[in-house]
Order: sequence, then structure tokens, then C-alpha cells
Amino acid sequence: MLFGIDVADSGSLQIDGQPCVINHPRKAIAKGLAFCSEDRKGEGVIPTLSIRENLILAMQASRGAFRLLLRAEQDQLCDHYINALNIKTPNAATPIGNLSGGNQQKVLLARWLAMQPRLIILDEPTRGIDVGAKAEIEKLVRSLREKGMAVIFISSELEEVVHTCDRVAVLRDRRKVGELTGGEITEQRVMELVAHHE
Amino acid sequence: MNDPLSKLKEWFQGGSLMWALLGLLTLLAYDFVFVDGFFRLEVRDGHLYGTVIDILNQGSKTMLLALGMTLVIATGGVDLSVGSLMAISGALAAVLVTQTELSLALVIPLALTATVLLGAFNGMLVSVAGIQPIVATLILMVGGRGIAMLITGGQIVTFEHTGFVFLGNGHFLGIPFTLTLVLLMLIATSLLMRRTACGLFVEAVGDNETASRFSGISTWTVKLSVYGFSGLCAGLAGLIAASNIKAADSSRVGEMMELDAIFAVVVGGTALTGGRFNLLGSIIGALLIQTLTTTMITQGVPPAIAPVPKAIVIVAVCLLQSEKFRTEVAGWFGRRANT
Repeated sequence: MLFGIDVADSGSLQIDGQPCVINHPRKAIAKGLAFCSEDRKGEGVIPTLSIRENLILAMQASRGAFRLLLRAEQDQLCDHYINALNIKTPNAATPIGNLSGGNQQKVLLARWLAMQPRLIILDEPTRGIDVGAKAEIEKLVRSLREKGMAVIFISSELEEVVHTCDRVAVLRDRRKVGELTGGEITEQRVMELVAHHE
Repeated sequence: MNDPLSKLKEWFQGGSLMWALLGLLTLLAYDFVFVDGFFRLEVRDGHLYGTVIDILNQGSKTMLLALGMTLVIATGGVDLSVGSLMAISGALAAVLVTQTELSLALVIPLALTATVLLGAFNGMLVSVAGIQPIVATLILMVGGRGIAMLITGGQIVTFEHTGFVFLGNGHFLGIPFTLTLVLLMLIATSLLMRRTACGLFVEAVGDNETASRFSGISTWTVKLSVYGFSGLCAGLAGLIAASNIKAADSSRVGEMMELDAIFAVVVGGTALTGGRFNLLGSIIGALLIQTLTTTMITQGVPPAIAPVPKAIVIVAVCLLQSEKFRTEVAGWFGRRANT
């Protein structure tokens, strides 16, 4: 909704104190937002295209069709993120569909990190991927946080929420039922909030 | 990675060219053996003549349509209206040339603008209104011929305009001018697709439209553009078709050519489900169809039963392309070898 995919029933949005309306992902991206969908297969990867093409897609889309990124820049971006995120692949020309779920997820993260967004929304980024990649992604999120990027980390796995987040908003049936910060964040407290309200 | 050949390969990487080429070569081998003087070339008045040149010349319309159709199919759509759009551009140009004083330099852009707009209308129906491409373009496939009839007043409009006649019958540097046109369009389209991000966007939208939109691609612009481009190609083909016979015959021109174009694209290695496309493959596919048609004419196959051998070749090439079929056949041979 924040990313302009669905229309809000109510409420308003302010960025830097300016009210704004986002009704298409393009606008959200222009505002420095990034969104990594929980539906990796349906809303994330372009399966037959190469890792390189998947990785540069958001960046190229924001540049427009007629300002193609130089091939050297594309290769440099790919090399950088394949190393930085430890993406396991023979080379950047491999179709993304051939990778494991965890590595696909890393390419999608790279697609958005290349945009250097101000706020990145990660919707269940660790769903359906192996334990190793999961730990790496959690680590990555923590390092992004330390670099000062705002991250909204949506998850239904309490353990990783407790590990990763500074501030937790607990939602139940589309309503916010509580907010925790710092030392308050424990699995116990979150469970209480989820269960408590009628 | 940087030598010219591998770079060129990357430009035309969608699907496999092999099966279309194999089909074409088989057909040419057949012609070499069974058709007298198939490969004979003659030079008359400095122009090249011969059956092969004929095929290239006759196939120019299908090749042009196939270029536009490739991009439409790559976005996961299909454009059935190209045959009717051919009729419209031919009719419009013929009427303008005979009934007004406008110069050809104005008539051709006018006719092409008309078909581009109609193509964009198809694109609107598909992208904005969300109608299935096969239904959306069916509207103009049926209605387009009616529009062409309206333009010509139901008559066959004949013309003798030198410039217009040159378009479909003239020679340039010894080869038919139509071939020059096809070559220019192929090069221009390839450059447009691979030297800008257009090709990437087309393939991304065709492969996973939702993911493309979420990545910030304006998917409806992409779709609108490819249908408009298909309209442009159809318009050009229509001008050539009218020029060929020095007349605009709205009821017959481009009939069933949409199917030839779709076939050319599919044989050329672009999947009907969208995604990766191969412009060169589509051109080879179009040549395959035209070679087949010409071969049947030279062999004296009656036009009424000509679709039968055509269908057989189509089935053969499609089966060869199917990976499932190939592994199945390989399995048969493997089993026989084991027993």
C-alpha cells in the first residue's frame, strides 16, 4: 500500500513533512522507497532473464528506456553485489530461475540496494529459503541498519524479528495493537500483545 | 565476452535459431535437387533476378510483419489485426495518391501514422482496458477491413504513381528495394531493442508483468508501444503490398498474413508465452514460409491443397522445437540401442 500497489482505505502519508500520494510503484521509487515482495516468484524475479538483467532492472527503469546503463557499469554492479551478498552463481549471465531461492532473494535485494533507497520494505525476506542464506540476510539487514538505512522488516517469524529490529509494531487483523522498542523486544512481549487484545 | 561475434549472439539470444535454420536448409536442399534452376541468378538491366531473389522479395511483407509481431509476442500478447492494418495503409495511400495532390513524402507518413495509431488503439485495449490480446486485436482484424473498404468506397483503387510503384517493384543497388527496407527495419529494430533498455523492458514485461511493474517499469507504456510498432510494420507491409499490384484491394490484401507472421515468430524461437525474443529468428521463420509457398507453386501444387504440405512443415518444425518431444524421441532410440 505504501509502495503504490494497493489503494489506501484511509489515512495519509508524509515524507519529510510533505504530504504525498503514491499510486504507482514508479512514484514510490522516485521518493526513495524500495519494496521486496513476499511473493518472490510472482512479484519478484523475472525467471528467464539473467542475474545481470534482474539486478539492474529497477535502476534501469528509473533511468528510463533510452539511457541504457553502460555495459561496464552493469558488470561492475553485478560483480560488486555478487561478492558483497555472497550470491552463489557461476556468472552474472545465468538465468535467475536457475538459482536457489536464497540466492534469488539476494539478487532481488541487490536490485533494490543498487537504488540506494532511503527506506527499504522487506516483506518476509527469509521465507522459503535455506538456513544459511537466512542468517546472511538477517546479517545484511542489521548492517544496513547500522549504515543508517531505514528498513521495514515484515515477518511472521518472531525469532528473526527479535534479532533484527530496533522497533517492533505488532499488527493483528490489520490493526496496530502495540509497539515495542529496544530492550522491550522479546518473544514473550510480542506474544502477549498478539494474544492479549480481544 | 567482448569480441563482436559473441556480442551479436547476445543481441539475438532468445530461443534457438537452429530449428528454423534447419527447416529452411532442408527445404532449400529439396529445391536444389528437385526444382530446376532454383538457385540460378540472372542480371538484367543491372538488376538481379531469380527464384531466390523472388522469395526474398515476396517474403518482405511477412518479414516486416514478423518484426512487429515478435515484440508483441515477447510481451505475451498477439496481434491478429496486422493483415487488416495492411489493407488500411494500402487503401489510404492509394486514395491519397490518386485523389489528392499530396506528395509521396507526405502520403507515406500519413498512412503509417494511421496504422501506428490503430496499433496503439490495440495496445490501449490490452494494457489499459485489460482485454485479452487475442480478443482485443480481433476487433480490428474484423473491423479493419471494413475501414479500408470505407476509405476506398468499396472499389479497387488502381494507381500509376511512379514513386509509389517503385516502393514495391523498384530496385536499389541491383536488389529489390523491398529487401533494402526489410534490412533497414531489422537493423533499426535491433538497435532500438539492444542499444537501449527497450528490449530488456519488453522481455521483462513478457516474462513477469507484476514483477516488472513492482520494479518501476511502466508496463502499459511498453505494451502500447509494441502494438504501435506492430502497426508501423503492418503499415509498411501494406504499402508494399499495394505497390506490388499497383492497386489497393481492400478485401484481399494481407489475408491470413497475420497467421504467417505468428508462425514465423514461433518458428524463429520466440515463445508465445512471452519473454526472450529473437528478431533474426523471426526473419528466418518468415523466409521458411515464403520458400515453402514458392516451392509449392513451382512444383505445381494446386493452391487449394497447398495448405496441407504447409501444415505438415509447421507441425514438423514445432515438434522439433518442443523439448519434451525431443527427449521422448531420444528415449525411443536409447531404448532400442539398449535391447
